Amino acid sequence: MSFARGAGGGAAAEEAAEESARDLIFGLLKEDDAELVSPFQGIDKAVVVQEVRVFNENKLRVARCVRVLVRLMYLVHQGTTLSKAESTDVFFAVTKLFSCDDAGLRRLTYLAIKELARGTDEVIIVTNCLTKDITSTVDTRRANATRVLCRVTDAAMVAQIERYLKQELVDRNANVASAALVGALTLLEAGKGEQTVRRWSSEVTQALTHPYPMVQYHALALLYRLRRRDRLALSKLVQDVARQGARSPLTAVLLLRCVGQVIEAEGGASGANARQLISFLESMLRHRSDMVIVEAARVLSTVRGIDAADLQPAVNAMQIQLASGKPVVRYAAVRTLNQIAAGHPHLVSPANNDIENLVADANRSVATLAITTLLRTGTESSVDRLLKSMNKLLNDLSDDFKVTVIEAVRALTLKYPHKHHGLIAFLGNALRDEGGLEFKRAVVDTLFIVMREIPDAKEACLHHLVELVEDCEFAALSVRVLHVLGTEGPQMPQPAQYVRHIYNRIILENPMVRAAAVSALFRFARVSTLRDSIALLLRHCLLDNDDEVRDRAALYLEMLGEASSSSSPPLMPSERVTPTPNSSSSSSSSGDESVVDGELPVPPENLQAALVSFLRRDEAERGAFDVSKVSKVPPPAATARLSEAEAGRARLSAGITAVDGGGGGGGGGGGGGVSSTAAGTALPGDAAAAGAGAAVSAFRHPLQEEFLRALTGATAAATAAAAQLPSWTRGRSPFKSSTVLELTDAEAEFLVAVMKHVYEGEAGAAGVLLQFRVENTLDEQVLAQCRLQVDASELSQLSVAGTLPATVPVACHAVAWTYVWLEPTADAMPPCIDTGTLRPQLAYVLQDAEEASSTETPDATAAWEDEYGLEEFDLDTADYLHPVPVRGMSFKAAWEALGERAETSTTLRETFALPHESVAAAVKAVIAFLGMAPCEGTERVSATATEHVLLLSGVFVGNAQVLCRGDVSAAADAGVNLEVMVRSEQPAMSEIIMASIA
Amino acid sequence: MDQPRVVAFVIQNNAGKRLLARYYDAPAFPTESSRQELEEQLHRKVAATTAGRGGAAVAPLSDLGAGAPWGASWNGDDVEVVLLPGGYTALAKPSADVWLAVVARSEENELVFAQVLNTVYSALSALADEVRELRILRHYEAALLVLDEVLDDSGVVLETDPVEVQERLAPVIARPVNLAEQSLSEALQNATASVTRSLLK
Repeated sequence: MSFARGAGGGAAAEEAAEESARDLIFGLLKEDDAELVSPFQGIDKAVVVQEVRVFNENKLRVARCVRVLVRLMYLVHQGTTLSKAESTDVFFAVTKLFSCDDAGLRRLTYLAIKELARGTDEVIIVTNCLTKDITSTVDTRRANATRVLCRVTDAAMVAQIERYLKQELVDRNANVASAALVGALTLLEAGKGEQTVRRWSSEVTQALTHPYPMVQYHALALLYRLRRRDRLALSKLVQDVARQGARSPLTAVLLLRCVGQVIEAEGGASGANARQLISFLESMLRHRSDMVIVEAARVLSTVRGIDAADLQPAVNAMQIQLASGKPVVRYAAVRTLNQIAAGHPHLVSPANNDIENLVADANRSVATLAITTLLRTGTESSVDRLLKSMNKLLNDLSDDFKVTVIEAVRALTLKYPHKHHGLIAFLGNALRDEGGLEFKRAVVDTLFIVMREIPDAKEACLHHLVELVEDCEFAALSVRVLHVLGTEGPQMPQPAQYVRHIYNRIILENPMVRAAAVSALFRFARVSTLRDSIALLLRHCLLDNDDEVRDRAALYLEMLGEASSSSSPPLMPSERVTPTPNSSSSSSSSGDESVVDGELPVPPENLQAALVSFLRRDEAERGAFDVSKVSKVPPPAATARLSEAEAGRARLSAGITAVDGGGGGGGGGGGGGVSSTAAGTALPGDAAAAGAGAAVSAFRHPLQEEFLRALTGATAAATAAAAQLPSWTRGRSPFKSSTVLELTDAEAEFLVAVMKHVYEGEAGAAGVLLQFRVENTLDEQVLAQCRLQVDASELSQLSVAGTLPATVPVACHAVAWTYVWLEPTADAMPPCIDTGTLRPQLAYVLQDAEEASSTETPDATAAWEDEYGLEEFDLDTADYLHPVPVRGMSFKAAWEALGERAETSTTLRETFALPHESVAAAVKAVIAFLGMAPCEGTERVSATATEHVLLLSGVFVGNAQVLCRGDVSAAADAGVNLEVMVRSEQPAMSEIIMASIA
Repeated sequence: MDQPRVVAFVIQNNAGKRLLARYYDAPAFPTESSRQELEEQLHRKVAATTAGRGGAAVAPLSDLGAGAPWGASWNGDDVEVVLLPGGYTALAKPSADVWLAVVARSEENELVFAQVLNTVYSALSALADEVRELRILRHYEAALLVLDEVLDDSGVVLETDPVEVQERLAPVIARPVNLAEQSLSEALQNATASVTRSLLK
């Protein structure tokens, strides 16, 4: 039993008796522990909250209080949240426990206080009790009270307790000194009393010499925190501690990190004291503790510009660790080697034999890491052996480890194209193995990439893919593979062999796969010898019992010039088929096949929407369909999906989705309204995008939603307002709508928020519509009139062209909408993109609520006019720009294509100095500022990177693409340098981007 | 750069049920659901990482009891490494029907946290008699206090010597009653006396 104490009143005795009886019964049953019930069985929050009342008793029953506290802590640690009121009640009850001097109870009281103390009042109450404990004679109590106090206290009270903390820092008792040092760190990190803590520097330095190792460690941690910005002070600290010697492995680890920091601050391996510091790091590789050796190796591997010769000892030390009996040591060693292999594969390759032993490690994390390391260091000659050992291992791994391995194989294949035979055979085996969708998809993705990068491997890859579709349980994967078979198969030497496999799908599979197989078959018609056979096979498909399959077959037969009606009864009204061939031939010179084959210049979702609206219009007025009018900006759901998706895969699937979705969209569009099966044939991700409406709302803020509903919704107010807005807004949705900006405090009498809408014109922005939401929070008064005045004098290209006041009086607690719009000035140059600060002001007429309702014509004297200044807001470049990643090709290709496309395109180059602390921070800031989409995963930067290339892409209003390449590098002294190259279809756009950075 | 910090310490049973979980990096795991998600991942990955080793790990009985030589060296033989999504690594140690796990950021030095884990384990097995589910639940205060001694609420490592932790907590936590120290007749006598007394009240 835990806390039984004999002493106490009658009640306590009873308590003790109960406890001991229960404990005995437990004890007797000990053999059958598993049968016993948990002491917390059926625990209930409401009951525990009631139970804390025992803390208020005059004579506290210790054992019972302990039990209640433990139950309370159990609840808290099970994630139960107490309401504000409950928490306050419990907290005040807990503070009563300070009247009891029992050590165990006090410790639990501390724990409870740390969990519950939130408000200032609560802190004030416990501060006195805790201060008393700090001055007690029991060391453990002093130590623990110190930690609690530092955690819960607020900034104002730090001065009060300073005297005690300062003494404790140099206390002889290790526990007390450590607690004070950690407490001081807690204060610093919470931003409480920083100045006070800085004054303790000499005490902390003294603590560094404390004989107990943990005190030295905590003192070092605190001193580092205080001096980390001061290069010289940090350097001196490192020397002091190194001379004293680290008294524990933990201190040594921290010291090593400080050394790494000093080397970095002094300019890497070529810095002034680098030689001496690096040899110190090397000496630590011979430390007796594993953790220090590993840390030393890792710090060495991160030194900027380190020589291979200096890194060699680290590799050797890690190689020895690989043979450790402890999985965690092996893991740490192989991870370090993996890290080194990223930069210096040749250094690690001599250790390959030892790493290979780990491939069969019982711990899968170790085994996987070993493989990925080997794949990094593997030389061309060792690939075959590596593959053999991987074949054995792969079956035992779980799916996510398998995916890691496949990704490493992908990298290796691209690195050694000559070895593709073995590697592709390995991938083929992997495809045949058991595995979930994620794993199979990784393999298929890899095969696709290999096919694209290594033309020689195409046939082998197709061979494995054909085998996959023969026996694939994942329809979505089959669809993708069939598509690729369709595009690549006809170019192979013997295209006929694929036709049989594809046609088998039409016989055996579900409608979704059948439809994809029909599309793939059609592409083989390009091969002249196969054309007739394909037409025959397609005609068979006209008898399929699925609409989509029949529709596609009919469409393709039409394109082949074989009328569908000749072979079988017409399955659909023939005029429904006609629009697609017409529209595609009018829009693109390459003719019919572009619908099925080519890279689409626009996102498939937009094409689909455009086609649907095209078909709704009268045949007479619609004329020919023009693809170039379709927006290049993908709908928000698709953008969000892209940005979320893992970069590498996103790039790949974007290409594939575009094509596949294009085929589906074309076929579906041809059959009139897009049937549900058309959406079904797309990839899962695509299906989500097809239901864009639903998905979009999930991403949007509710307030955002409210704004858009008020502007474009079908409400009476919106329609009334729309009639009075300028013509360029009518019947269209904005090119881009910003997020909602609040222009008032949350406590203001009138709450005003704004949303900026940019509309697209002929060659740029047609205008900017500012939509204001005005909420009246007054109880007694009504805004009889209200409108917004905007001072746009900072803008040169745009000026205020009109305002639309609220259409109805704003009742108490009601919301009204009012608009202001900006149009290009007479001498504005397209694209009329202008940025600057706008100063809004609310002009209103206020009236008593009663009068407004009682009298028909309000008395002029009862109303008064007033104006109310609002917060300024900016019109940014990002307001005119959609983050659209490069589609269907690499960034480099897009960049060059943009350069060649027109003489109007321009490239600008400029260098800026940014104040950010690290390259990673600067990259993040640049992306956020420009609002463009990062491409090829370049938004991901390691925290320690000193150089980075950022690729950005976006579409400006006016449907003009802008690409931007930023080279970010750490500056020698401080801050970060940014060299930007911008290329766009219009020179003005590039200039705007440059100007906005500056 | 910072000193090594623990993100979370979790004790769960073989079925993945949480017995105790302390989160030291509240911003990283602000909500209960994000925490449960992490623990679920932990449970699944521990099973997957150690798969093919004949089911759940068996408690190393030789480690139990206070007599083992703790000292400066630590026993990391059965500490497993598990990778968690979001850039976290967990070190997990099996004991009877529970797993003790310490979660840290993946770029951290794993060996520091292996030591933390072993300190908690050693101190706990001495104070709660044996690290198994019901023992931990019945000596919940011991588990709470051992964690409080080893790790500060900021995730900073406070103490790595299990003997020191044990000594600091010994006056606070009464040693569990040991059957071996009590003869059966004594035990029965005590039990009868207690039951009679409470019935007479």
